[in-house]
Amino acid sequence: MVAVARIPRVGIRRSADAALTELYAAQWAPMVRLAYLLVRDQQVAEDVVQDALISIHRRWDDLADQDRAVAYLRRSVVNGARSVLRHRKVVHEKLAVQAAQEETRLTSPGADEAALAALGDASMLRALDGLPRRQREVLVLRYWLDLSEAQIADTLEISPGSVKAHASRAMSALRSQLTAQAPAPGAKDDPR
Amino acid sequence: MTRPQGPHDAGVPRGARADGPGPDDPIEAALRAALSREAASITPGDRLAEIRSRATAPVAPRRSWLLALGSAAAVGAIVVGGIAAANRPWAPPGGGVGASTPGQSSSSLVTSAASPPSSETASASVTSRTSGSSSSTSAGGPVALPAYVLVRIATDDGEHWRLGRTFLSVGLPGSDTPAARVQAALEYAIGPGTRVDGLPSPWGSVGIVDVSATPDLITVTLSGPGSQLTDPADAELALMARQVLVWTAQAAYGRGRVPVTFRVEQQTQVLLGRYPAGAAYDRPNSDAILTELAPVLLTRPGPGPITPGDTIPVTGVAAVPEGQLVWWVTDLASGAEVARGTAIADQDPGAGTSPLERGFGFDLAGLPAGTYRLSVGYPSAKDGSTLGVVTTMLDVFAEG
Repeated sequence: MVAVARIPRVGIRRSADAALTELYAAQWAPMVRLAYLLVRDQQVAEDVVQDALISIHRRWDDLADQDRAVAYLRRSVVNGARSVLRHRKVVHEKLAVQAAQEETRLTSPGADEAALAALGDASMLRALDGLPRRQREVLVLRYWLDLSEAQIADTLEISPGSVKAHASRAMSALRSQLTAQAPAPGAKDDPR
Repeated sequence: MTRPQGPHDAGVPRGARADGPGPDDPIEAALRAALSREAASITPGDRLAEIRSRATAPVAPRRSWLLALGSAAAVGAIVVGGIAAANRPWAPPGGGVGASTPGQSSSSLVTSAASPPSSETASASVTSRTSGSSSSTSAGGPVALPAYVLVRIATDDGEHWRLGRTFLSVGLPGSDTPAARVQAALEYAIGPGTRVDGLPSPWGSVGIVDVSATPDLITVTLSGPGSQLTDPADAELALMARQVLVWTAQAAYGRGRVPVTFRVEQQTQVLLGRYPAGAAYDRPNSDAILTELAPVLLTRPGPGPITPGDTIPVTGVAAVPEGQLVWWVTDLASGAEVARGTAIADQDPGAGTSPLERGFGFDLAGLPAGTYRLSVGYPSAKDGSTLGVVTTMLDVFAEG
């Protein structure tokens, strides 16, 4: 897990500014990517993380534990992404674009292994998007951020048992969906 | 195939988790790879300068999820009350804190009434077309205006979207007409300063193009229809987003429940994917306004400076269990709580309020120079945690 140095409390304003700089340096890119995996829109993802960082800066002196700034930031990003998804149907838009690209690749004479890999990703991401929101969040946090159940529980403000249950159901659903989409035995997976 | 790498690469034995399936599960491997490739497909832009700029800008009234997240007290979402003109992007030169009108005018402009008071005088028909830009200048000095903003509040029944009330002191770009006041208040109500942290505004970048107001109808022309909030889960948010405009327009106009209608420039005439723009909208009757208003609303102190040592009267209306309120003051420089107390909402709140609302008032002892946050909420009937918290900034400094 990416670590953030302990940030000493030396004057609230200075401390907040220093924390912002350090958090940005260490967490900007991974948090944007986390948000992107949840909302599938880079601009929106950057907006979400930007707002989260600004919020942390403004509330720095209210944080119960400033050493847990990364956890607060992650939670804020997930909440922000969740809210965005409720208001914008970006996932569906992005996946529609992916599907169109996938179709283009399938009909292109130069389709190769990379396209096949991308096709697999698109199928996986579509299946992921078809999951309930909480299950999707658990899988992203688990399989991209590699968070432990306890960390996921903290981020999503649910119990570790719920994390386990969501993950189990999510993987079962993914397996079912992807198995259903898999080519019939013997079928040639050649896009041309 | 080389396994794509996530954000935590160094020394993390992927898949070798004690709390999950084994590392060889093909679906898990495919999911991990797909997520990693998808994440790696973007290169985040550099926003440090913008973030620093916004983070260090004067604090506008914002509500924070994070405060609730970071607080062991499970505080609900935040409603921000009175602010100073300097905190707003369109504040005119010289229209800062020191030039704003003190809070004495706030309570006379609006209450949480279902029928806004008719304290304003207006011509039979007035029209305003103003830009609301930061370069505009005020001919007559700043005016105090009420505005309603979207807030997310915690209650014993869960979180809800509601309307919070704030007062702003703003310089009007042109003539001080009722329509210009309505436009200024509306621009603030859906402007960037009222965004709930981490949430896009349902109104996005929509601007107020034009306002015309007569005693029979307020017509608001918008630059766009706002977000498509057609998901059933967004019903409450969409309604409150629309009502932000209705409540604010009526309050700023100050002639009672004048119906509000809308036009959208050159676009669909459906607001937020739900509401016909041309329909006439109103706030609910007094017995139902709590379906839209936050349970605690602050009336005073309003915008403007407070002199060090002065007693600060605090008033408002609340519809809370047993009328019990808790309040506290935080010094924003040190983060220290400098005062705390309780209050009872048991006063006649005045005409037009909900039957459930009661007025409250208490005095804050004089504070030394500084910037403070006053928070007012109510104890949960279930567990005693503080809910429905509203806050307002207190700028205490010596004038001159």
